[in-house]
Amino acid sequence: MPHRRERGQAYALEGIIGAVIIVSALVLGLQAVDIAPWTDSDDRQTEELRVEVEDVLDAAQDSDALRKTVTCLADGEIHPNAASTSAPMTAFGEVLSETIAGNHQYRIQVDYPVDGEIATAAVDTRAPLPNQPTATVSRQIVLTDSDLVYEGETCDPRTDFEGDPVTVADLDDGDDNNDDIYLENQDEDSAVFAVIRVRVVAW
Amino acid sequence: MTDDRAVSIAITHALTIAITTVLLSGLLISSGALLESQEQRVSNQQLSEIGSDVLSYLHDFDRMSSSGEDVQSTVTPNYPDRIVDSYAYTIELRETANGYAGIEIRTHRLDQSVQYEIALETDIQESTVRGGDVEINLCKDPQEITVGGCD
Amino acid sequence: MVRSRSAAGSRSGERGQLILIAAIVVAAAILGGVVLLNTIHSSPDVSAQTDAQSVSDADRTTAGIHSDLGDLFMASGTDETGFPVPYADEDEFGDEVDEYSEQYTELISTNRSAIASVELVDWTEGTVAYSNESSDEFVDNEQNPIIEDADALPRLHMSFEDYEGGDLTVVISSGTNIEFEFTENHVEYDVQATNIVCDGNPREVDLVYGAGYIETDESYCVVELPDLGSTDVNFDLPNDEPDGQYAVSGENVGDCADPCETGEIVNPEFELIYQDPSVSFESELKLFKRGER
Repeated sequence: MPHRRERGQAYALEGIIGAVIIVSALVLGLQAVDIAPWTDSDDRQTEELRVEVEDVLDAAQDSDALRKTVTCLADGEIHPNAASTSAPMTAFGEVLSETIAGNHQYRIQVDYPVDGEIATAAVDTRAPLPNQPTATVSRQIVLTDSDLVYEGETCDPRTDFEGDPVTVADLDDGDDNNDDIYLENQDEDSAVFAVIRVRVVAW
Repeated sequence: MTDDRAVSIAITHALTIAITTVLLSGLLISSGALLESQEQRVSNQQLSEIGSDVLSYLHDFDRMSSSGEDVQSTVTPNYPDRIVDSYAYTIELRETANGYAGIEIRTHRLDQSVQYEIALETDIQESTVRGGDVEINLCKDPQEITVGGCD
Repeated sequence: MVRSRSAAGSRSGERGQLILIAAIVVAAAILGGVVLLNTIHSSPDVSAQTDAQSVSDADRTTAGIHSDLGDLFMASGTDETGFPVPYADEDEFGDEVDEYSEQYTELISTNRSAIASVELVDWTEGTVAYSNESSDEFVDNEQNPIIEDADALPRLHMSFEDYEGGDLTVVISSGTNIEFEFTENHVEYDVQATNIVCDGNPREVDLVYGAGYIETDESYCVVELPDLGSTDVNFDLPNDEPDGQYAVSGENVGDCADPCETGEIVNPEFELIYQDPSVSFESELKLFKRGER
């Protein structure tokens, strides 16, 4: 009978509409649920690494290793071996090799003022920036006019032809654009040479 | 239309609706209970997090106070305004029986509180502060640690 | 016969739109459950983690500044004498600290939203006696006492390249005498009726207000002298003087043996301010404090 066929379609339609309503409610509901609290936070590991790197920089600053690394030159730029963790090692390299060099990777750079802006020089940028959370720690130190310049693979003090030690102020007393050192004397009249920042990104 | 079934249509429908209602309400009630215990757990967790954070600030300030003379410091941490977004809470700093510094984070409505104790060298001034606008201070003259602002 | 046809009606029982209504009720239950669930399970991860850094950041920054100020102070002495000597000129040092503070804040503002400033606010005046040959004789003129009648000794620093020669005696007299005897293989002294020996060839002595260390090629010995009142420092030298350097500073000193500088800063005091969005910090800080360097 024709009525029964039409009723069949009606039932089908009703069922479909009912199903559509439930499914949309489910989809909407699941989208609205905030599952963030249940995701595992990666922060804890990065946090611990950050504290570790802070301690490393503290140790390096205490033993004056940071200063020696920043003033260790080759051709007026930072010596590529200045923070090396394979022999021959500088003081900074030693601290790094005993702490984070074993199980983490890192990049070390120096921010310094030049021409009224902040430029960045590389101390150890062999590792490329990764696709994972990183911890960044920086330390600022002051360089004074009487700080020594170092050179060579083990960053020994440089001496001039008279055998006297060479200071950073000797390489840049601010008069002309001296190319002997990448840093710039911010104030020739004062004992302050420049305030620089050592920045370590680790992961 | 006559029915050859034993049960009348109306009763069938009524039963269906009644069963559905009972099932649904049962579901709602139990989920309500589940949600409530969930709420208790989460609020306890939040209170503990806040408490241990305050504790670490107290410890830091204690160390700082001996680093120089007349040290003064204030930290305004970013705690949530309310616990589980609905209950107000207070942070109280006081001296405990054995001379330690004690902190208690408490919500009234949920009747929950967490307590911590820490031994400090610096003196403390007993004080309370409401959640949302929290300040922890290291004051000079006299050198003491307090919450809610120096005098 | 005309029958009304309802789209979803059924002739075998007026169940109405039962399935549709049931579907709507279930959907409403799901949405209601979701809403309830969302309102209660807020993140237990209080954003306190990032803040817990800010106080320790302030702490480390101010410690770094303290270290920098020490270097600046010594550099100031080097500027005047050519030696790392712990004193600074009253007029110049204040300017240098201001310069440092300015550069420091400028640099730190490029990295985080924080300001840090230092200012020289007070100092103790005194005298510093030092050796002025880079690695030759220990004392230029055999005048004694090196420092006479000082209220306290902020710094006493001696370093030897390779101690050779006879016995050097350093006498710190203030009421009772404390004699440090340096020989090629040990350093010996008496304090409060206790005899203390530090073995090894002497390398370095560093005392800040009477507390510090003696370092030899074999060991590292902690020194803690009692609080001294009005103090004289005398060197008793052997004929074959050892190679090395010394720098001794004294507060409010009466007289000193050349080479020395009088009427300069021997212990400066700074005011340190640090501020970032969640922490503010202010402190007065002396550069030298007993036992700290």
